Amino acid sequence: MSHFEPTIIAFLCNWCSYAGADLSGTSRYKYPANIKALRVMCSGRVNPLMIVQAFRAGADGVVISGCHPGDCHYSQGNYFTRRRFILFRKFLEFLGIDPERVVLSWVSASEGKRFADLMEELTDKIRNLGPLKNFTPLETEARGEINDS
Amino acid sequence: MNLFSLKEAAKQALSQTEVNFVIGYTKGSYGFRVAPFFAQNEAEVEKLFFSPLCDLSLVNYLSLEKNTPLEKFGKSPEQKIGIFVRGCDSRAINQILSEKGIIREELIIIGIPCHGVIDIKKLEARFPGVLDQARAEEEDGKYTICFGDKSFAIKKEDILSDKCKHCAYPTPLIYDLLIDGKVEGKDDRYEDIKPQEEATLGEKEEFWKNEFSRCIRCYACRNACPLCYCENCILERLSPQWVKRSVNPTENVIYHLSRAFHLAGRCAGCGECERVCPVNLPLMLLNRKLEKDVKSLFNFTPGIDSEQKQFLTTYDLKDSEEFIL
Amino acid sequence: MEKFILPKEKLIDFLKALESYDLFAPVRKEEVTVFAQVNKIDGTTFDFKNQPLTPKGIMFPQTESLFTFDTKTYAMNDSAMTPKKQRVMFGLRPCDARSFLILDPVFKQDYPDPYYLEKRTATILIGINCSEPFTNCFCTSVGGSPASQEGLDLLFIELPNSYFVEVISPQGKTIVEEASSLLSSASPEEEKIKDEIVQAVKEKIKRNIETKHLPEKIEKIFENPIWKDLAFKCIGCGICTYTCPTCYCFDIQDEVLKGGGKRQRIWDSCMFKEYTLHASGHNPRPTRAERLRNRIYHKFKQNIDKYGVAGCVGCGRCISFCPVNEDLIENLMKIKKL
Repeated sequence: MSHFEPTIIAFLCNWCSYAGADLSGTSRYKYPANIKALRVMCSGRVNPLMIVQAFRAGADGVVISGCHPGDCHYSQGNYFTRRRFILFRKFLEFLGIDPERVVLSWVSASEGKRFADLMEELTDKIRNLGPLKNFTPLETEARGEINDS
Repeated sequence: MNLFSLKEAAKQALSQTEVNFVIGYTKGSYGFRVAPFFAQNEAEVEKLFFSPLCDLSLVNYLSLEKNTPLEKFGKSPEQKIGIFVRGCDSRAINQILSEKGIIREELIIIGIPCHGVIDIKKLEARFPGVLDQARAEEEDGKYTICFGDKSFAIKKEDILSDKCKHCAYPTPLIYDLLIDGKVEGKDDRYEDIKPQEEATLGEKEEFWKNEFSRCIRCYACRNACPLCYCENCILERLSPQWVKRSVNPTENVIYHLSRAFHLAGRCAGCGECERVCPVNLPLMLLNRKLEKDVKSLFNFTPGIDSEQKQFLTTYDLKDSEEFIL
Repeated sequence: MEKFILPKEKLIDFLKALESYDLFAPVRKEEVTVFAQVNKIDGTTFDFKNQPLTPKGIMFPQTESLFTFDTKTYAMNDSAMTPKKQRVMFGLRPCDARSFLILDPVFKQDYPDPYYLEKRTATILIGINCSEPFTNCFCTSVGGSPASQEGLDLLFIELPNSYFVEVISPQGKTIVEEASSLLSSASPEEEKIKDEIVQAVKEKIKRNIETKHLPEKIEKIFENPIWKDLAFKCIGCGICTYTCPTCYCFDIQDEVLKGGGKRQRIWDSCMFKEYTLHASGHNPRPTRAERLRNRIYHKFKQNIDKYGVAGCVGCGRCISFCPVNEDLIENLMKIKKL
């Protein structure tokens, strides 16, 4: 039986989280290669529908990471992120998508080790949850295996 | 319902020079149907009426006629529109006003306190094939339905629209003229979505996949919604393409998820989406869930005040952090 | 024309005898009736009482993959094009069968469309007459009838205890031969009962409109302001198109995914604003008035000019499903009065 390795998309805000991820790299703290980093300027830029697109494209989990509240480079971006994602997560649950697959975290630029630990924890959690079954992955569709009905 | 005052109100609105038409209801072309009607003069006002059969929302025509959303440096209105609104319609108008989609001065709002409307699909299922124009009256918790030479008394809750069963705002919250006395709202506990909320994750997924396999992506829900008035709707954009045009259960989930979330904290609960759907999808479940969460998490109800700020463009320093790592 | 009798209680056996075919019939799916492939046949499978959503999807699916491609090659979608088994559509109302006669020239004439044609030639159409018209039926006004044979291979007409089976084409004969043990020859008395029933249903259709001189009338009123009055109610939703058995407009979009993709054909509607939206931003049909005018023109004038038959079978679905009571018959009456 093949071993399942989840794919996790990470939206990292440029000023804090991405820098934090960078720091974990330069400090040689390893975090799993399952995490695919996507740099955005602010966590507030992330449209909830991007999460849906990520799942559609084959991701099994999504993490959005921003600056700690009060420290946002753009003053308020992360407050909006917070509001948006509390609601969106509950909504995804209502539709039958496990909310544990969508994670929001605050990671500052100096928290290299914390970032690595968080990502390790998250990968383990998603690995245990298994692959996402709610959406037909695009490759399956491309191979014509989906019944378009 | 004082039909005379209703028609007088419409005539009063039309008497203003800037008002070209009053949007109201008229008897439909067959059976239990009711149609929207644009009355342009006093003679046409005579065709307007209101009854429990008036199940459709007229607010949609504001966006169709008035080119909402407003241009950036919107001109002052040269033309005004008169419109009949029920409770839910008034909340939709309030919400559009608060989003600056339309200017208050462009509207003459004739408010009709609503005792609830009939779900025409339920009537058509009870009496299939009825072509004679029907009438409906309400009294003492019963509806009297007449068509041809027949008359039936039906208990109100048997054919009342589901959306009216928990309506907390039946009296219009914004109006220029109010017909009849105010109606008490109900205490909405969101009981209708409880079974869905309490289902397991697997059951939820199964339920929605099953429902959305029926969706034919006719876009009627989007077109009928008074609050879906974006010039460049996200559901039809090609670059970037958020929702593919293919019709299969996965894309359908994404379509409805996207549309419902774009209405989070904006939905006025008029139920048009569910009413117009040709395959009877339970779309109001999605909107009700979001309405409940927005209310309990952020203490925000859309459409109460035409000046209120939107909940997604504001924040509270004390917003919940419960799931954040 | 050969005529047979099938007792009502033998209907299920008749359908089971067609096991070498893929069977499509009207079934109840939650709260709506659709034409779908049927795998399990018993007394509860079928819904012959309610009007199904359009059956055109059996020949012309809403979403159809034309071919897949990647950076090196492409492959035609053979499975979508050529059905693996011969197919039978059972339970078609005569109006819906006529709709295929209106769709066939569209997919045959200018450029033969293999995706439609291969499915069409592989499908045998078995119709059932209407015993009661649906609410907004007006088939008799557009050249149809509740027991019309047009487009069908076999027609079942419901008698009190049996079905009167009319064999219309050689394919219909093949079916009858496969189930010959269940059928008996029809007697002249039974034929008389059938004729009476058919005549009685025609008289039950309450909505009528004389359409003979409509094309000439429509041609004269292109610039008439009446179109604005007719279209003010319309919200441009597309339900009329998606439930119409003769509408055939489609869009083709490439869905590209990770270095490969597929070309999809999907239903489109001329009632959508972006249907005629040019790349420049100009839209020759900017308001609902122009789009409604186009719809009526297309169905009641252009179709007649090009293919000799009106693009409407009088099923009334557009009237029943329209959320704002845009009534085609009412609109045509207003046009005639001009």
